[in-house]
Amino acid sequence: MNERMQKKTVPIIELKGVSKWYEVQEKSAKVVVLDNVNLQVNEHEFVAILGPSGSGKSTLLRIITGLVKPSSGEVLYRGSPLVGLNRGSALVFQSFALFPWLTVVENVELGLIARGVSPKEARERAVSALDMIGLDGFEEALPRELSGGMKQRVGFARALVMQPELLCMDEPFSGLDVLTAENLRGELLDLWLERKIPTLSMLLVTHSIEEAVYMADRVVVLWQNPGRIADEFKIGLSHPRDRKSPEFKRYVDRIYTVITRQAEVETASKLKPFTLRRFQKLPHVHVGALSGLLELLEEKGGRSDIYALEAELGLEADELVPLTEAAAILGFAQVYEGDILLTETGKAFVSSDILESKEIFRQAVENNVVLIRTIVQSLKTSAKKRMREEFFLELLENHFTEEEAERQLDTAIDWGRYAELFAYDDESGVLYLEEAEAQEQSSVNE
Amino acid sequence: MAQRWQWRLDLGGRPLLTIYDLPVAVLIFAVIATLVHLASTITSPPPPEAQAIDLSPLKLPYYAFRSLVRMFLAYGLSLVFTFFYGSLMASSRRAEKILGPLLDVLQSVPILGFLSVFVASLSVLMPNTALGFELSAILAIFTSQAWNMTYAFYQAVRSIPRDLQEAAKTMGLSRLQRFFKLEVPSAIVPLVWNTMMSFGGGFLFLSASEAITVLGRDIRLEGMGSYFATAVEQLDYQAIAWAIFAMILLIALLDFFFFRPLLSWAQRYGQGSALEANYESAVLLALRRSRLASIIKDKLLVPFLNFLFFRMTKPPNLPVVAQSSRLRRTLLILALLLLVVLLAILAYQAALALADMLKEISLEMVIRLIGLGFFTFLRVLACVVLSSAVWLPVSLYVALHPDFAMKLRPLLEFGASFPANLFFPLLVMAFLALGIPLTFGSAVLMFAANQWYIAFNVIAGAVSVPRDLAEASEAMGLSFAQKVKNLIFPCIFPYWVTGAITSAGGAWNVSIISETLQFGSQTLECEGLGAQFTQATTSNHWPTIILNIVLMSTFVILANRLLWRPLYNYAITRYGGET
Repeated sequence: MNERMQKKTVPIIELKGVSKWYEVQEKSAKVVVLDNVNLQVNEHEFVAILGPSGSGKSTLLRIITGLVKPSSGEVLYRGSPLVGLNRGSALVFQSFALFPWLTVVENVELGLIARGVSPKEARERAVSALDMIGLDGFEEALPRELSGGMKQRVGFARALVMQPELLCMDEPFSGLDVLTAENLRGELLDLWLERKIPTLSMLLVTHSIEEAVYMADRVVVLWQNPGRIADEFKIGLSHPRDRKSPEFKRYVDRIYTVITRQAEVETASKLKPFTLRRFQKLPHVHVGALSGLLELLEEKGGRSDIYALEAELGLEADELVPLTEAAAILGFAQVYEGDILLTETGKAFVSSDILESKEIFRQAVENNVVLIRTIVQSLKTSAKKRMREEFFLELLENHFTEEEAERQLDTAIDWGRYAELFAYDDESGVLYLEEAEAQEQSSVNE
Repeated sequence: MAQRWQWRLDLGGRPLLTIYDLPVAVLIFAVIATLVHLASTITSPPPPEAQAIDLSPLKLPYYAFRSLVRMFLAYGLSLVFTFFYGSLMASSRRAEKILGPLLDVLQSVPILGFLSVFVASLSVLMPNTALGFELSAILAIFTSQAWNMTYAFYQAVRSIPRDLQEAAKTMGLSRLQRFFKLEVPSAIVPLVWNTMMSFGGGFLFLSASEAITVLGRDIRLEGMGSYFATAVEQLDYQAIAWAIFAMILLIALLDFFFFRPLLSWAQRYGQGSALEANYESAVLLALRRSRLASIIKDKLLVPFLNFLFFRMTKPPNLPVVAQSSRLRRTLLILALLLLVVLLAILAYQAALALADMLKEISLEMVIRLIGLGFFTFLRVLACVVLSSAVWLPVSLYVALHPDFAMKLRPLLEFGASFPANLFFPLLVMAFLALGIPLTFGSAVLMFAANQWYIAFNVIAGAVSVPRDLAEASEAMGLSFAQKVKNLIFPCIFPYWVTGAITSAGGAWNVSIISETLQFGSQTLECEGLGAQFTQATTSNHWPTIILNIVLMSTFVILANRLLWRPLYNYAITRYGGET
């Protein structure tokens, strides 16, 4: 017993209270990318970091590999503070990041040569790494001759040839088509499970819940604004895992629940329709996509498990969740425990003809979206019924970063235009009420 | 199965000598002979006078050889400068803020300004030797080659995709390793194209560099530039014709032996665009197949590069090593201190010179010069307008018939390399005959020399018209005018602005050889800052020279900031496409 306790090894990498922020000079404000993250990766562990875009998961990976220094907190490698580049880790990129002018084998051996390994030995090790990854015979090919899947294999070979203790992967399968991705995933798992590679642990960053549950022993869920750990799950399934098994689905559901709960916390509550206290963070979806979702829901009888929708719509979690959020904000649907339910308003929206549904949309937007309401009010009260976008951008920049403020306004304009509440001239950057609308508004006021 | 990694190509039968070894051997001997000859020149006697230039065509090969040597030495220097400066400029925002405007200033000073400085300093360092003047000439040629290569390198390094940079870092490549393995390869294609333009620029100002008439001297270094200058001075039409013929031949040879192999080799580093067709080079092929060349490469070149590469490597580290950056930091601080001291000395000297200058000049002088500057500016504008008037219609045609671009390419390459100033005497004769005053004529001369910047760019713009948009236009049955307005013009406009900017910048430089011309015993002149500048540098009066440099520089930079850059920004925002 004692020996076994002594054998508990130090985690390969440990993050304690790690935060990362950027100063924004014009505002003297901070953009917090990661907030107080505590994370551990032990030996013989496969950890997946799951989160939407903007959750800082790429930044987290770069802190772990030593490319980026945290603003505060500690990063420990095998118990000692990490200084500079993490020489025990290797990184696989979403975009493959191969040097276009080097052959496949030159790409793979580059890291070894940089470390001082002799050309002869580097070449031998590179060739055997390529063999293991299934690219024997392609050594002298140039990257542009290869397909996406083959390029990523080179990326893996290049990382594995350095014999890292921790293999870090930044959405490695996102740039591949479904079949190739599936193929590569399986092969990577094989190499990992059969201990064909000396790598001790894997760290996978992904935005796909399914991928995380399929591959990892532990899933860490990150959420955005600021990036922080929302929850952690141990996946107790044995390999090979069956995506259709009820246990698998249960894990996915649990994760969905966590995510949608996070999403709800962000949007302003529907119980305060007429306060101007805070702008909701609008999800960036187009009305067309939203309609599509609602129509599909209706076909399914008004209720569906969100995970099941993923497959039907061919979307990933980070594409689907914004849609469900939008539906919730507008009052067209309700999200509850991983399920989404169509409301009466939503049903009406889907089943009416174009003019009626626009009217329903217009009311929904005016009632529920604080930003659009603000825009309409401002336009009504302005003398010429016109306002420059800078006015609204400045307003938004009190709540969001510059970039996010622009995107929020873009979304609001998209929805507002569809609802025919106002118009927008892209070149001059002016929002305005069109003649008919102006008259309508003034007649409503009377 | 491990191959010896130095052998990139499979040399099949492995004969002892191939037929390609013969020309390669000849090349090697030529290089050695050149070096020997160069060494002998160093110890040579005082500088040659104007009479030394022999206008017999038989001397031309020798003169061409001398000029080429200077060009290549200057080019080597330009490369080194490009790598250092460009790399430094791309390394950080702060560096860019200092080095960028500095490069602008350097680019705005005409070659005669630099030459004056070089001649002055070198005649102090090594008075009255040929070497001093040779170095001045080489440095002057350097200033007409280096700047556009530096920009191109800087742009290329800045455009390196972030994931490649991160990959290089995670593989543990040190700064120098990244420079050799990532930054340089990614810049090779733009550098090769800019090399061609640099040589063109070098040739254009060859007369100004070799026939040194600054600071009251009249030194004619042996070379094609001096030959041409002397021929024009003596109105020896036959000699002029020989010079033109020799230059055409020289450029053809340069193209065959130097540019084409470079382009062919650079294909491996290319991203692939429509203008980059498949270049085949007999010379490159010969080099690759020659056994002699392979031996040199594998026994000399590759080990040397490996040595460089390995020596830059830090020894293999354990996973976590608290790297002592303190030593590095102290070294950096010392270097910075040294730099500050140097800059202080330089600034002090500059302040002294400026004080001197301010004593001597008067307000009316400055006003007069500003007025002249405006005249030149008008001519620069006219040059841009003329070039656009010629090449925009061509680009329209190319936009509708993209294959024509391929046919145009040789013409463009030749035009960019051939120094148009060789035709200036002919053009001037035409002006005199037609009664066109030089004040208009010099704009035509500027156009002759500078149209290629606009030509290259608008053709590139025409080729960039997306295929699917062109097809949609066809399908919608758009008229020619509609196509131009909605599709072709928006695509070409940003490229045109880029071309106009570089063309205008070049035109200011050309003004020094187009606003004042030696024609036999006459000196033709028109009112302009270029003419004034040339005149000022022939005197030994430093305050005037400095005033001219400052004013010329200011004009160019102001024009850049107030006209061309805003135009460029407008073009990008309005027509930038999906960025």
